[in-house]
Amino acid sequence: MNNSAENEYAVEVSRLTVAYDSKPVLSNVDLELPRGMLTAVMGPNGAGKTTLIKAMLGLIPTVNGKISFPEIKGKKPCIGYVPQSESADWDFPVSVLDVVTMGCYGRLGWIKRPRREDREFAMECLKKTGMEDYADRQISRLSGGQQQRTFLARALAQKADIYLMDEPFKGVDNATERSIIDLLKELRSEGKTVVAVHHDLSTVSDYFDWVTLINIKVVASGEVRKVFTDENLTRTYRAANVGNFI
Amino acid sequence: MTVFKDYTFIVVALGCLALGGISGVIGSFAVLRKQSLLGDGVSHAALPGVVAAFLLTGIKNTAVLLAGALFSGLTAALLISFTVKKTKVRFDAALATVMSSFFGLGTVLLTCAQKLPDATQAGLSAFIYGQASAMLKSDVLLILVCSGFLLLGVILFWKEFKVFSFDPEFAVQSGYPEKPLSLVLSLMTVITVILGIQTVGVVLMSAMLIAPAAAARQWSDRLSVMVVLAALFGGASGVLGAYASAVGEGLPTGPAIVVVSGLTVAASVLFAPKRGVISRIMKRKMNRLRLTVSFGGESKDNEGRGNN
Repeated sequence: MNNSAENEYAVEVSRLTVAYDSKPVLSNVDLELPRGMLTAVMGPNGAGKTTLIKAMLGLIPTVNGKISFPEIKGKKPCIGYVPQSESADWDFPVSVLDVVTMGCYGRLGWIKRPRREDREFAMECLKKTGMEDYADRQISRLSGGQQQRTFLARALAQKADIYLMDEPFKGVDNATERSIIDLLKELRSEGKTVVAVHHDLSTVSDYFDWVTLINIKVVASGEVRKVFTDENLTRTYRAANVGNFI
Repeated sequence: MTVFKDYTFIVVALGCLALGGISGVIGSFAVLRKQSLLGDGVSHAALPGVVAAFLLTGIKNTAVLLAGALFSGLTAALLISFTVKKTKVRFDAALATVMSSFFGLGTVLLTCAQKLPDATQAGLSAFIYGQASAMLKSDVLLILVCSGFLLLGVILFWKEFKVFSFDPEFAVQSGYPEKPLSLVLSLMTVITVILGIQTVGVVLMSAMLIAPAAAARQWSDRLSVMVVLAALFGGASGVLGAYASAVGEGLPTGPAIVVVSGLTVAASVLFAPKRGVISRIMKRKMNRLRLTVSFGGESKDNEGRGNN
């Protein structure tokens, strides 16, 4: 599959197993996510959604398996990341613009400082998330939704081809949710891939093209209209109630 | 005020200035990464290394003693992180146990050293509370050179240290791997602590690391400003403490420095704009007053719910 001239997948995961203290959190996950689409990763609490995203990014050790991001037009794709906002220290002495500028750090490489054009680009990314008025604000004085949009802007500043997002809609109000989804659709229209952990069953068909239902193993993955069925949902979510179901 | 013309005092003050300054800079990162207790552990654990280095070599040269301190300090740090990783013992318990055991061992070794017939061991006990007046020109030179390197490291890797301290996962994802960064930052903390133990003493060195940074954090919401302020606070505490120790008969430097930096923290916590206690109380009062005016005194339910 890797040998095809222009691969249609953004991410390929094969036989991925991740365990904390010998208890598998993800078991034998095989997954191919399409390029240029919005994919929702869904499943009950403890299903391994965050773990899947982090494993794709190489942030946590895996027991087994392979994750690859096939080249796009002969180049290694650049990956952007929107973590859950709790992962950072929000009392840290930096401004919103500082945080968004950190999105450029990956491109800069060791030692090199962000230049003025990097800051200007970070400012543009802030504008896209409607946060430009908060550029100079210290990050501890942001609401949950503003924190989320700051992280989104930081990911935009990464100029990525593929965006992995851990619950981008968590704790945001309806208006913010709308503006975030508009932004994601704009990314899609630019040919970017977005993979997002999502919780709200009622918005899946509206927001996403592709859905991956997981509960430690992959239950189903495919186009929303084909995969997002009552039967699959029951299989995904019922397992959680049984407890240590593997 | 004749001390100011005293050549020895100038040398000592220069050493304390550099030491306080670099402690502020490195301490800022230690405090922001919530690793300030690591410094405390390492400094207490350095004592047996100092005495053992003397007992083994018979030389009372600062570089030799500090090499011993570095060795035992690092051993303790590794022991703590090993314990946390491999057992169910938590960080605070591991730290307290290792730190006090090493310090106890140091005190035992010190007692042995003091029983030696000749007087060569004199001055070793100064490592407990620090004795800046014992600083030689070569010691100050060592502090200056090491501080210079540490400062250069912080300037060069500013961006990396900043993103790693704020959001380590994002740093890793951006291509700045965790292991080397966390190792370098911890090592810098350890080196700073070891540099300071002769002047400030193993018991109080961690305060030198933490206090200027904690004070500086009150005054600014920008990392760069915070680090510069911490360096200034640390440097000033160092010089003032050295001065107090020079004029006050028998007053050890460490406690003098730490009292000064403690006062800086107290003043900062009280008086700093925005984050300071007084400014926050004022802001809450003003808010309440405004609410009372706009709602005609019906704001009693909202009392004390200042949002900050």
